[in-house]
Amino acid sequence: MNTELFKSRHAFVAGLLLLGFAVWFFSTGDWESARSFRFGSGWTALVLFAMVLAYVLRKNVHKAGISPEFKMRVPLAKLEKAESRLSGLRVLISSGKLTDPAEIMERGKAMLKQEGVQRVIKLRLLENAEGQQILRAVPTDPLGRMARWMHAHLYYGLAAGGMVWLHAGGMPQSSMGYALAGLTLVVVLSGIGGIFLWAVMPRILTKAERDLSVEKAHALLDSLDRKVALAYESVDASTRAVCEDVDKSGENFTQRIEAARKAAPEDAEARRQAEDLMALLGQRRQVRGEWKALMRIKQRMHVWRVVHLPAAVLLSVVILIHVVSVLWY
Amino acid sequence: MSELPKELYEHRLLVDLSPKQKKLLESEAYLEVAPAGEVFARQGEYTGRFCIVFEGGVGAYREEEGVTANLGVYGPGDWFGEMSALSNQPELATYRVDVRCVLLVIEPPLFRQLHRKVGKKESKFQQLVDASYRERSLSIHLRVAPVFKGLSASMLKQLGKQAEFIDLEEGTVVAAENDPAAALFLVRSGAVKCSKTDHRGREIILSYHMANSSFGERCLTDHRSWPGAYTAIAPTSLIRIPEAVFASTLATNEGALALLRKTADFMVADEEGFSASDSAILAQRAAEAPAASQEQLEIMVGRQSVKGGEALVINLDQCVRCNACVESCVSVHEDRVPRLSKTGTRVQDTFTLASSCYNCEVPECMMSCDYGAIRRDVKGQINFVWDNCVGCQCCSHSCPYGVISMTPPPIVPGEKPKYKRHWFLQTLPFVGKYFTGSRPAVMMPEIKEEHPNVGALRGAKVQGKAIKCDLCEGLPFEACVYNCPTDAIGRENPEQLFLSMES
Ligand code: SF4
Ligand code: SF4
Ligand code: SF4
Repeated sequence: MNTELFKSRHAFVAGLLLLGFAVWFFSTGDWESARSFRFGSGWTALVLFAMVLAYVLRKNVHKAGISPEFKMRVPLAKLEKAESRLSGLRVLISSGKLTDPAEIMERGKAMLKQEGVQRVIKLRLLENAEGQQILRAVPTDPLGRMARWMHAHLYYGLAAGGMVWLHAGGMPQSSMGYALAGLTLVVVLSGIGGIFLWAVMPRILTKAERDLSVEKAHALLDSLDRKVALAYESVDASTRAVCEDVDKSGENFTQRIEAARKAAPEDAEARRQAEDLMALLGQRRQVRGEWKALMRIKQRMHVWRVVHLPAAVLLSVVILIHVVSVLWY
Repeated sequence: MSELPKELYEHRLLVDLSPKQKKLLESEAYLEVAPAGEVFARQGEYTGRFCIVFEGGVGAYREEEGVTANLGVYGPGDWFGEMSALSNQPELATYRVDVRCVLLVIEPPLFRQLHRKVGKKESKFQQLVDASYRERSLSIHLRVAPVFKGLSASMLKQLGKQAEFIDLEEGTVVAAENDPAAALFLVRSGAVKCSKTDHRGREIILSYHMANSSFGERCLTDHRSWPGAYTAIAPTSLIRIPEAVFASTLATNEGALALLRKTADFMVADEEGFSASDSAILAQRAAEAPAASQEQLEIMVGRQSVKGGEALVINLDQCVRCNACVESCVSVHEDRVPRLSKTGTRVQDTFTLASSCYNCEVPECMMSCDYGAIRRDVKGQINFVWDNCVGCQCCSHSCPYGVISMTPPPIVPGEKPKYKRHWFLQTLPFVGKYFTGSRPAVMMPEIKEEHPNVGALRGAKVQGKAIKCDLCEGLPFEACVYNCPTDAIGRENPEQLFLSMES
């Protein structure tokens, strides 16, 4: 199981927030008249939903190539100049002329700044197995890695679910309330299911992929498709018809291909070509079978999205209607 | 094109260049006037630039244990830079202009063109550059070899006089198991593996020896037989110093000989695993790995990529196969072609070494490119100079890891990429895949008519341009690593990866 998915400081923040509101909720005697609690929990839930949506936005904006970090790109020549100056610093470090970590970092940072690349690379001072200091330049990852955003999505999403429940006073009062609470429940539960599957299924798939990975099977199928197409061209029309028929009908494949093999033409060359084609069809069928089995596991790993995504879209619409109507009236 | 004076050809390196080489020199070399204090190359940097001094002087300085050593001064008529250019190793010294100078600068692709035979015989350029390489590299290699720590410069010079240079083809056996060890070897470039065969006939790798390391210190100790067979696993250059040379050279200096033997004793203990050296553990992991990974590791060690670059590693127990890494690689490249493929070699079932560039220490792609379209930057990264790429595919055929691909040629030359109109639709879940039909288009490369090798391309089916992982050139992130939702993919030194694995 991949426990990395659960190790996050966002979990702590989200838990603390929810706990605070729960204490407030239970200390509020009459929920109906506790306007400040409803107001506070409502806006907090909205902020949490916004943070959850930020993940989706960040992902798609990056995919489309319009994320703000793309504007930070610096020419390679600048990076090279900075790297060249850093190698001078590294020589001083490795020769023992420069040992104070604070001074190393200060001088390194000044170099990056002078070359105008400080927004693109940052420095890390590490120690190797022999205890020598190693100065490394690494990307700045300005918006933080997607994995951190994923944690935020996960834990603020869970907190948003709890917050909706508290906001409704434990029991929805209207049809809008039911829609909101119901959809939140669906989204949260499918998300929890998803996280569980993401934590457990990769290992199962990895084990199943021991001989052939999904990607390799895909590439193999591509190449077999090409070979089969070529082989079809080299056989006569009647052999092609038999093979096509055998290949199309999935049932009794082995027996039918065996029968077709026996009925192959008399001419030695034509017979060899027909047998090659049949062997290729057999191989393709086997690889396709393995590929399908792997794809089934892969699909199972992502099945939760079929519920999560449409429900999340619907929930966003309902939240929007709820907020507008509350502000309006 | 820089105007080069005709007297240039009176220089002893350039007297017998062929007309083709002269034409190349005139079009690609340039004169540079450098003020005093300017640094040409820094110790530890990859440059591969070769320079001939015409006026003034340049000094070579090496930082060693807090001391700056002057390795030599190059005045009018001298040259420098051949060590890095020939060995593909980082510079061993910093070259600084002492007196304002005029230099002829020759970049690596041109250097490779000049460092060739003219007709059937070696050119003066080749002969003289090789001779200075041997002399200078020998003195530096002896200086930096740990086994010689503590020996004076004059003693090293004495040893150097009797040292032998050996160039080996891949697969050559340097020493056989259990034979008496009668010489010390320094690895200048390439790699040597030490292995033995167990009772089941399986090969057990004992250690790897890469550039700037040594083996055979045992000839100075009581453990005098080779523990395994030593085989070159890449084209390798070695320096061989026979055992007898030590006895004769250091006969009058018993203290130095005793120090040398003591150092050798430590090193042999290390090699035999008493101190579990990294190379021994690495070898042990390699022996435990599945055959395919073992083979991959061996290629990587052979090409020095284990030492050179970090590989993109996917932890399969964390990877949810969402493809975000490949998609984000697409999003950072204008041509919308991914540089990353998740297929790669599996290591101990849990990791995949994804197919992306390892920035090898011996980059075969770069060596194979005659158009100067592949260069190494100062930190060792291999980059393409797209303006020079003619689409001949030599690099993609020579990369041992198959990580270079070619962009598809355009449907109509000059046509604007079509995908831009579809990008948003392509990002939609489930239905996005139906909008990926339009092919990315790149401009057909322009073949440089004046290049002497252009004839080889006539009639060849020219593809688009060569592409490979460029570490998201100039951007503040590596998109694949940055966008993975589960932190499954990251940069790792393959050596460290093997070392960190549980046995
Ligand atoms: S982005 Fe990460 S989780 Fe997704 S396929 Fe790539 S490595 Fe695997
Ligand atoms: S492209 Fe291939 S040969 Fe060239 S540096 Fe990268 S991995 Fe090595
Ligand atoms: S580092 Fe950048 S270019 Fe290289 S594979 Fe990853 S996303 Fe692609």
